[in-house]
Amino acid sequence: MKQQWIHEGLSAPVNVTWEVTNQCNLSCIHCLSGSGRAKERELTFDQCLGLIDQLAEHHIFQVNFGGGEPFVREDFVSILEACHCKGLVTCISTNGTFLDDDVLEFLKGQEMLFLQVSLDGGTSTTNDPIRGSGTFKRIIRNIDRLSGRGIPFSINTVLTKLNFPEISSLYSLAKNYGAKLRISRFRPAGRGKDSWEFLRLEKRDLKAFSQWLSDHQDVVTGDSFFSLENEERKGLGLNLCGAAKFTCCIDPEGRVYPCAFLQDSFFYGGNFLKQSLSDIWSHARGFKILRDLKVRSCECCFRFESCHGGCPAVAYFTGNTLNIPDPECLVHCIQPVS
Amino acid sequence: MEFVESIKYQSSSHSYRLAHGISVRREKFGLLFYNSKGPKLTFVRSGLWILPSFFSGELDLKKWIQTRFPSLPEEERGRVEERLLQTFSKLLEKGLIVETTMDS
Repeated sequence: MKQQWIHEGLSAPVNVTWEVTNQCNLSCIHCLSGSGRAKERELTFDQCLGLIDQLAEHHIFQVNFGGGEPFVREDFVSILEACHCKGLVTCISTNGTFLDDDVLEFLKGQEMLFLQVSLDGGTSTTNDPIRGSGTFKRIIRNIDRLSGRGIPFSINTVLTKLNFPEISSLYSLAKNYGAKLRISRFRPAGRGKDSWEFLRLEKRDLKAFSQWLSDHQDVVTGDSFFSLENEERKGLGLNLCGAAKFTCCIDPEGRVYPCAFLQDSFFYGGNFLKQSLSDIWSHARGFKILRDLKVRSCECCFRFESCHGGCPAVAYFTGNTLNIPDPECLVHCIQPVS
Repeated sequence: MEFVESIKYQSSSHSYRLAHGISVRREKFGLLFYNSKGPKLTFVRSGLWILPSFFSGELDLKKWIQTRFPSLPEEERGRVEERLLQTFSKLLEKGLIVETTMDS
């Protein structure tokens, strides 16, 4: 990705993450949003339609739905339909336990929709301590139903110390369903702040994972491992953090942040109910800070062009500053950096 | 994106549409194409010469340039056409647009 495009700035995000509710029937220990109960002033359906109008007006290409569990909202299918009517591609991150027959019927044959089902282990022994008792069986049962109806999906795993040893079996499991494995980075956000030290990978494992990714080019990462990826995966995605440059996040109450992992008052851009998205995108202070961010200590690193300092969210939440390198970058895993 | 050599069968009497699953929008530098199936983004430094509406396929390139830039000298129009055809050949290669003949 050439930096010149970033410096010129995009008129709007390429995609937005929309946490459409905070409500979730599960209570995963690494949840980036700390989901559980619905927030007090979650957007009404009409407000959602207003937001969709704005997303379409600004020619945003894709909406990535998360939460909470999006399918907990009874109007979620209608929200999806409204997006598709406006030409917005959608991607849903679901915990896979709310897929009833009506939802499956809707999902069948949807050309503008991508579905990611979360699974955090190749066995219940690994998955259930993370996602909750009995969830492995429930998720696999629904994956079977998706597969049986020919509905395409990917399996999404948040990489942690617990499931790292099962990454290859998760890869095989996904392959057996004709699905892609998507591995996301665990970050110290939401409940992940509390479980960070317990779940984060050791440096030697991060280094091994980097090599594993190189050997499995068909594994997708949602651009979350660019700070770890080797030369072999060059060109498969971004080589820098996309927050406030390509993407932003809208929370269940309409508040806009640069990224789902940076939902902190310091980065708060505004609420789309009070300000236009365009105004927030172009003028919010927290967004400008991220766009202008230069991690000086990384600039002389031989991998700088591959990661441009890595994930600011991990740096911010672990070091309370943005001006430090991503503590989990590949160079840190090879040698300690002073 | 760099401009590349055009390919012979291309002609400015052809029009172009977005390929299936592709979206495009205008940016300061030109056009930003989005492929929902990935690789996702293609940046095209085309300035104001081409707008997303061109890819509705209603006008061929010659007519587009005539309509949008009526005061442009003939010679200059030819140069612009040539450069844009080069860009289109790259976009065709990437599967972002498809070529349609005006009489089809």
